[in-house]
Amino acid sequence: MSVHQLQPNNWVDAYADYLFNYAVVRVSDEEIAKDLIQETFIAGLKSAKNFKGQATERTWLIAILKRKIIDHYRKINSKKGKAEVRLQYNASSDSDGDWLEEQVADPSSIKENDALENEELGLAIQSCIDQLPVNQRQVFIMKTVRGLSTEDICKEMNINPSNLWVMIHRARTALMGCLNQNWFTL
Amino acid sequence: MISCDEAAVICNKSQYKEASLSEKLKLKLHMLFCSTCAVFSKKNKQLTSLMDKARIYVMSDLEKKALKNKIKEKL
Repeated sequence: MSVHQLQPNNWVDAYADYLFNYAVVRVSDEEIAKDLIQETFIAGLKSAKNFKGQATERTWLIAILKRKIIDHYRKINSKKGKAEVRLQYNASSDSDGDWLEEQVADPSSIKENDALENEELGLAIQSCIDQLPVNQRQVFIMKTVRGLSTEDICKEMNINPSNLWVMIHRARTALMGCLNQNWFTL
Repeated sequence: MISCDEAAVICNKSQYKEASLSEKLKLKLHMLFCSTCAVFSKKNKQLTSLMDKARIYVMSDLEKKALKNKIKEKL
């Protein structure tokens, strides 16, 4: 097994988006997620000497991020005081949702699974995007995720539209191949 | 008749709703005869719907730059 090495100069370009997606779905707040990622990178630098090279950089950083997310929840919980547990005994209101049958999970509902699946899908796509060459990645994200117009992207990247469509084509083809390996619905 | 390269460009454009009606017709016609492009078009559409389904979050370039500087300071 090859030994992995840390390259902190590459961290932001290589992993920031992946870590960001990982954090956002867990803390449901973009600003908090950004802070957590910054803390993760800094903690990573501090404990760089403990990195044994057995895991990949990304796995190692994710492990740190997980700790940071747990710490975050601890912090907000201690601020709020103890978690509240509420049970309602008011039998006076026979309104909707009071019946036990209405409170159990709906086995035919696939909403919860959908959310989970979409989160995994998001991470699978993100790690495929991370493998694209930098300029293709930039153009693809501007076009597809941020939804900028062709004109604006051409101006910003200083390219002409046919360049743009070539890059989009390469990016999309690569993503199809990558998702084909990592996600089975394509 | 258009070439496969042209067909691919139109197919990609139509994923972003930027293909004109005449382009779309040309693509449709091309795909009647070209199964490679028909398969590509199908996969391309699937990629679009996956991208819509998954919520992808991105940090802006400015935020990334700030993050990079922070790392540099600590190095």
